Amino acid sequence: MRGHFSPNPSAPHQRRWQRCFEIVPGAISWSILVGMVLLTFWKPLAAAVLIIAFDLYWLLRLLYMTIFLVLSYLWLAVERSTDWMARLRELDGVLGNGAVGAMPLRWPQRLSAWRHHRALDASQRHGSSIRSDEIYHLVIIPVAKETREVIEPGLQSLAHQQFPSSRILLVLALESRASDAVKEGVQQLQRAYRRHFLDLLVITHPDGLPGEARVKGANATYAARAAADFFAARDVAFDAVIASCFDADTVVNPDYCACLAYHFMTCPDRTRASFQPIPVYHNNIWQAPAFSRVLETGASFFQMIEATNPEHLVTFSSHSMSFRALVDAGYWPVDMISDDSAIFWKALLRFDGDYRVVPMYVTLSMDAVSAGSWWRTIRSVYRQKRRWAWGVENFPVVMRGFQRNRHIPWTRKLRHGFKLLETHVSWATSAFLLTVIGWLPALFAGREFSSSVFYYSAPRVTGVIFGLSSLALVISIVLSLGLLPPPPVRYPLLRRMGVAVEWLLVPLVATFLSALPALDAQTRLMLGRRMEFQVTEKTRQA
Amino acid sequence: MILLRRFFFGVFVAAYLVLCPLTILYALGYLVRPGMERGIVKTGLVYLATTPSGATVYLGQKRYTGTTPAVLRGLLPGEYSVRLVLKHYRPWAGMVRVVAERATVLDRVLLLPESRSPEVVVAEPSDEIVSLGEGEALLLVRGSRLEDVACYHRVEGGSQPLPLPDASWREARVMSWTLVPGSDAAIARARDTSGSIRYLRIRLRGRQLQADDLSSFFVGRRPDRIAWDLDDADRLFILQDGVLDRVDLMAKAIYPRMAERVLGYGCADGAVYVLTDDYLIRRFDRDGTEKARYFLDQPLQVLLAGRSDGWRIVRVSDDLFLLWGESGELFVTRPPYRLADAGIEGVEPDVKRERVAFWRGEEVGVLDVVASGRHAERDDADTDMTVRWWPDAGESIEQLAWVYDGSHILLRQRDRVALMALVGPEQPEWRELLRVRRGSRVEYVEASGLVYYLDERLGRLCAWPLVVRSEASIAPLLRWPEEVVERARGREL
Repeated sequence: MRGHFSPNPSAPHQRRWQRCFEIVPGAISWSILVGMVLLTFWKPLAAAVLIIAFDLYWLLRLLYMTIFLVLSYLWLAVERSTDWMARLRELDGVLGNGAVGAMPLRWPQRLSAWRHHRALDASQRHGSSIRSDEIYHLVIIPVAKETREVIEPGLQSLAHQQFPSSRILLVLALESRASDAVKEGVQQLQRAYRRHFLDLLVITHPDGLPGEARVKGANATYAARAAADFFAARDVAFDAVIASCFDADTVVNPDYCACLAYHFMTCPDRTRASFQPIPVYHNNIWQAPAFSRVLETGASFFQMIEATNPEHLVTFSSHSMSFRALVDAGYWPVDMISDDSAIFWKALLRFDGDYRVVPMYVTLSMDAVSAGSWWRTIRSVYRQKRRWAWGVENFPVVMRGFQRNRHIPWTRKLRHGFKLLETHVSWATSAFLLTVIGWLPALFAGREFSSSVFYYSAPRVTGVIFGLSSLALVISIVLSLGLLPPPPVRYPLLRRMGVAVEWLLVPLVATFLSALPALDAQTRLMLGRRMEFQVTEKTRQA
Repeated sequence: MILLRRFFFGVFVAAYLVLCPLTILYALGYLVRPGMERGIVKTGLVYLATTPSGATVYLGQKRYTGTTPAVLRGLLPGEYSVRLVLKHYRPWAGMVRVVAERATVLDRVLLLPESRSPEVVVAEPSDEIVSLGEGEALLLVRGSRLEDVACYHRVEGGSQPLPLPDASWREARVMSWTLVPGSDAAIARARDTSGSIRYLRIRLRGRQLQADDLSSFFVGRRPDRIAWDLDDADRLFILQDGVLDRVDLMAKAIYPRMAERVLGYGCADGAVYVLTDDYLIRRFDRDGTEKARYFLDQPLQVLLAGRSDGWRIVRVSDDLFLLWGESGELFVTRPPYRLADAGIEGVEPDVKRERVAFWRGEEVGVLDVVASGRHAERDDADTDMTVRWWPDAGESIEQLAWVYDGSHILLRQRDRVALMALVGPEQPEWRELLRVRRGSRVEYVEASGLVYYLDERLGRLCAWPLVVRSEASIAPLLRWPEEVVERARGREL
């Protein structure tokens, strides 16, 4: 789609299509939920049969996802010990016909090394000419309300990268409406850290520019344009720049930039790719309430599973991409809240389907939602999930784009469109079907249904299904314990063991702090009510 | 990874396509049996729940693992003998019919103890008991005079004399008691030492008894019948010579001629239903305002014509009434209209479940309002009624009570008390429970599951635990029934 990627088209017929597609996700979700409730009272036997079928589908899907969660976790564990700088040097050596390192002895690392050698071979064959010392990193950090204390750890982590930080351009994209304290904090950070990087720019985004909404994407785009001018003034080719857009609380591993550079160098078509790390929420995970911890870990698990499916991977939260692709695609949308996923769709349409997301098995850490009190945290979590679920706003824009694009194969359009729709509908409905609606036929059974074999068999079948699903829960608990950072010493053993028990909250949190916000977002979209961007409240104990 | 993903996706899709229909068929009661026609048979199941739970289940000669509450699955349609055995309890046996795709539910099986000692709650002997409230208090009649009547409160315990308004009541001799089952009041019609007929209302207020002299409301009257609504003992409806008067005890007022040409009436559900000689049943609210009319069908009018008045109207449901005549006729306002021409000695409604039990001599009958059609839900189908008779229920039945949420019937035949289950075996048995003082009533209290009676020999007030309430309070499906499998292979599986 060469046109404007926006939920606010100018052409009347496009606006009509936009409204039609905006209604679809919410209508489907509500139809499912309300339809099942009505069917429970009208035809309880049919409803119970459908619920059994859904429960079985959900079990198999859960087991399927668990397999790939485990694989992803294992791969993440393997890559944790990878020396990315060494691999960059090997890549540079290959390009310069230099020596390649020997295979490691331990078999997990041998797998990783085997993939690396395949990448080396591919680089030699394709003649990819960029060297690691030619690469620049552009890191944009939008700031609206975040104080210095929230931003600084991320800057420190970038300043201490294995990849030379002198090749990192850091841009703090500051909203002009930010408070004086925030502005002062940003200025202090610039003074303190500028010398560590190629440069540390503070770009102040004016408020109320035409065509913009008060969204992070507008701020990031404004900063990216400034960065483009910066690179252009120094004759730096955009093809050699990797752009990353991080949340203000993002803290990266010391090898993140090196890992990113490696994936950039080994990607066959690097200027048509985004690079997605695994987001974790470990900055304050031990201070966050239990339900917040479970939710954030679940979000990480979801991204880990998605990483095993690069064909359908979509960028999320803090991510990276080719700066050339970003510029050619027209930067992030300036009137959409879900800029992180929207940029993928925008690029996909801009490049007629020739765009991909490369999963990176490296983590970057952000803050878990923790707003001081339980109630405030619940509210903040709800709003955050609703904002995430607002990614459904991409659906109508993407569908219109697919309508107009004649170059993307229809099978690919169908797959992408279906997955986008199914993901959001499932997000909003599955938890309700499993935890609430699934029990209605038994509770409101009329005499006819309550004297059927099915009435007595269904609980047993459901019990077996949920029992088997607990296997996935156990695996999730084990993996979560492995994924979490070491707890502070001051926490007693009992509390740390309680971390495992927290996962019993899954039915509650999945329903009220995941599915409900998703349904809320879809309903708003369906009713034409836009959402204002609200910066999620996060606090961090010293 | 992509290939691996596609491989597993295919495996799971195939697994779902195979498992889903199999699971649903299993849940519907279809089982695959080699050798049977088409390999698939329709089965039914039996759900058993006993009070108390934990009984061993025998189906035919085969013993099943697990105990009640239990679900016996995979049963071919047909008749099965079921036996439930629990230590220290009498075995329970019956025949059950299994229907394909249906569940035969026996969820109110009462196991009776082999021996259970009653608790003597009042040692002093009595001749009769009169219940106030739903067994909250019992009046113990020990003689013909009012001063011979004591009161036992279930919570307070012990027996206390009646709080008579003044000393003149002490020597008054009770001629009859007017009761409304479940009401917290009873009216004694007594003759004092001067020969005057007086009326005393005994009412239970909380844990206290209150006695009110109602004689002033009956000056110059000899009512044919007095009745009141279960929940409002302050409004009386008095029938005399075909005229129905309303008495408001709180306002101390009589409202004469609420209805005239009255053939009969009854109180239920906050209303008064009056049958007049134009063969209308008129519904009045407690304030005497006519709210609705129900026209009796022509055939019923023909049945009623020429018969005496004095009918009692028993409300079964919103549009179904029983008419119980003084001669024991029993008619219903829907075909077949006639239930009994004569001899019905008692009628006991089960208001919650919209059914009525009645008896005469040795027979017991139950009228039940049910949904018509096997596959219709209650709300969207025409309701219908069924009448069942048990011709050999006992000898000289004098009292009948609904027991254990309406799942059983308690019968008193002179001095014997027996129990029968309504749900379950096709041919239920009567199980003798107790021997009681001849002619004295028994009172079953649903809340506690106790049967209060006067013991046969000494006339002491005793309480016998019929239903162990801690076990019975759990709804069947909220407690996970054990899946029971046969210990030995057999035809049923």
